[in-house]
Amino acid sequence: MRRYEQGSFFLEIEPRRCKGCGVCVQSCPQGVLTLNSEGKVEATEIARCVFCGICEQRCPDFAISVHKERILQPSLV
Amino acid sequence: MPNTKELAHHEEIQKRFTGAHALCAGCGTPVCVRTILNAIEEPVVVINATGCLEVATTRYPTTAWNVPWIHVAFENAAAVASGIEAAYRALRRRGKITKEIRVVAFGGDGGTYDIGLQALSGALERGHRFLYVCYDNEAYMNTGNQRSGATPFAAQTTTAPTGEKSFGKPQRRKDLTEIVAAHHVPYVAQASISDWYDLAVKARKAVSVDGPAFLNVLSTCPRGWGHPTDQSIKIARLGVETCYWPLYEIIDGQWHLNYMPEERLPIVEWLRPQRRFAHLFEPGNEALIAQIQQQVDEDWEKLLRRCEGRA
Amino acid sequence: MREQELVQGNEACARGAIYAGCRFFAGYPITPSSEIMEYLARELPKVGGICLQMEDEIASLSAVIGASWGGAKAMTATSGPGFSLMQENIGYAAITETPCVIVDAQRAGPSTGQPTKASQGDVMQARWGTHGDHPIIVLTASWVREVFEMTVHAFNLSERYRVPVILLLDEVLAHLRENVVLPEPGELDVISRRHPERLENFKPFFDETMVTFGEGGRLMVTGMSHDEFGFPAQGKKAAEQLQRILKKIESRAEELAIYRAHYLDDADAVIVSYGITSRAVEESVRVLRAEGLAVGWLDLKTLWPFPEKLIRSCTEHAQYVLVPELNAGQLVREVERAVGGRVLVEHLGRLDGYLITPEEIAARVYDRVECLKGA
Ligand code: SF4
Ligand code: SF4
Repeated sequence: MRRYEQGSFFLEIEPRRCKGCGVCVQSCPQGVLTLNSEGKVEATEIARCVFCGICEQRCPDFAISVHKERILQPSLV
Repeated sequence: MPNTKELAHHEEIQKRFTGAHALCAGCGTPVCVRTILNAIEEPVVVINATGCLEVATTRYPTTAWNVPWIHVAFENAAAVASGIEAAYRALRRRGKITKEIRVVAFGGDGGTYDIGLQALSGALERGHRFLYVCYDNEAYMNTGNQRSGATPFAAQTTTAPTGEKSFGKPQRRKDLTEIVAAHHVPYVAQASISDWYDLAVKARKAVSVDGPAFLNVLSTCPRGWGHPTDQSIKIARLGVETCYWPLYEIIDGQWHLNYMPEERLPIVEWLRPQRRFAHLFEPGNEALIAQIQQQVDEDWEKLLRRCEGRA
Repeated sequence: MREQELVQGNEACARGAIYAGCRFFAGYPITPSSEIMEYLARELPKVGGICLQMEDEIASLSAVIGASWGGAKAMTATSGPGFSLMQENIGYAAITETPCVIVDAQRAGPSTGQPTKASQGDVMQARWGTHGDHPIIVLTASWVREVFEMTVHAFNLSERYRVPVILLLDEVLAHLRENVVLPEPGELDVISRRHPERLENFKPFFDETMVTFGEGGRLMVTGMSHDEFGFPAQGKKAAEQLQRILKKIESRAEELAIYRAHYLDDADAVIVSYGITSRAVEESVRVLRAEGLAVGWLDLKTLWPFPEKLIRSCTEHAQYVLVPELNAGQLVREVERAVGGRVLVEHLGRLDGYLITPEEIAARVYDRVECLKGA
């Protein structure tokens, strides 16, 4: 699991789940993501990330996710 | 009604369709399915026709589905959906169910354009309130790339091979979106996996109408189309930008164009990256490309006339 | 001499069809038979034939029936779910005496089942799947070369007797590649339909001669009960006509029976097998014989009409009959019926999609024979 942080947000990538389809790379409006030489996704430009969550929503394999730290679990509210 | 962005962070909705299925890298189908299911707020029941989606999401001994899901056969997803919807309607009328439940059927182009067309037409005509989604990858990919009614003119498939006597599929694809529209249903739209917001909004509109709704979604297949697995979204985008696959919707019989390219790209941009069209770039086949361009031009003009500038 | 080549079962079927003079194929993609259509889509146009991909299996067999009346030798290929969709048209082809070949590469069912696993579960459906009494010929094969030969044979019988012929393959055989020497042109007989001597006053539904559309005679082809002219018939006429077409096949059960008999003269135990299962039986018989057991083997290629007399004569002196098949017990009932309670008949089945192994067969026969000796 790789973690990319920026303020209270972070983006997590699980390379074992990533098939390298580039769906997230091509869907990210900010150009944050790239595929590395192993064909796995990396957030090479994390500073540009606006944490819109498009990558998370589009990834067919649930390999990438966007989080806000200390998020309240809905069931605990 | 929460917006799609809020729904995207709704964990339960996000996990209606989960990972660890066996769909290929670069397959447009899971992207299509996730985008649609993530956009629907109400509980869903999913009906799945035979096809890649069904096979690869229900591999022994797993499933990728976290919603009520039923697969019956290749030809009858819409008929099964009819039964489910009619039963819900009856139960609601008697007060046994109070929740709004959305009935969503997914079928590939084989299961929709060809073998499933009769069941689809019947369900549309009867007016069941359900959403039928055709993830259109333009051939029978599950059985190894045989031509379908959705395969475009001159594309190569295993049963429309190229060679001395053949240049791929000699017929044009049928316009299923228009066929569905001819059933006078309240909502019909054409979308693409490349334009996720457009697709999500269309899914939302589709389930909110009181009657049948239909989405025809261009969905890439790197195996059958022969393009790099990491280019799917871009390729689908080219389908939209060349006006090969325009984004539009038909609401209560009114045609609306959803996307007008600033500058229309020539059709070769769509054809060139795909191996199924590679033979068109051999010397002597220029006329075929010109013919495809002409078909696209004509269809586009016709669409513009129908939309009369409505956007 | 022809050279050995590595050929897939499906390809052997497609090549057999072309060899037999098939010039029309209509089909619909389905695992595990799609390669037949893929091969024919490439190769049929080269010999002046036509390969159509239809919108479903109902349309596929309909087109084949149309093509047959248009004068072509015609075939379709499918698997379980598609075969189920074809049933109505199989009955139509039977009552209208339309020559056509239907290949069913069986996969584990029912319903979607296990598309990439083998089965022999369509044996009874091939015989009785369509409604009403009807004639049918069902063939099967166990080796890739046999697939070729049986395809040719299927066309020959279909054209000779004006009857739909079903060729039952299975997933493993369809996808299996074997080193084979396929028959050369002229090596196998190729039979075509016979025409009546005169067109004047001819009766299109009277015997095994056939006139096709466009030849000049008046033809009326209908699935409704009809008389020898094709006109709708009821009562005695309808019954007579049905009896004639039933008898056409049933009365020839013994001459239509294709089989291989091994070591039956002295056999105490007889294994009756067909299709893919025969490959395992071959090995088990070798092992059992080496152990000194008097085991015989009847390897059936014609399943329907069921060769009753053959079964009876082959099991006359046996004490034990085993029918291994990849189903819950289908052909075994026919064998039991033929044997008529004289001998213990047992079924050895498998439903998990895997093949019956030679060990399983050998172990069962060994046990039973020892047991019967003791008794
Ligand atoms: S969309 Fe998912 S699987 Fe595809 S490259 Fe991105 S993280 Fe990997
Ligand atoms: S959250 Fe939005 S901006 Fe950030 S990587 Fe994902 S798609 Fe790009």
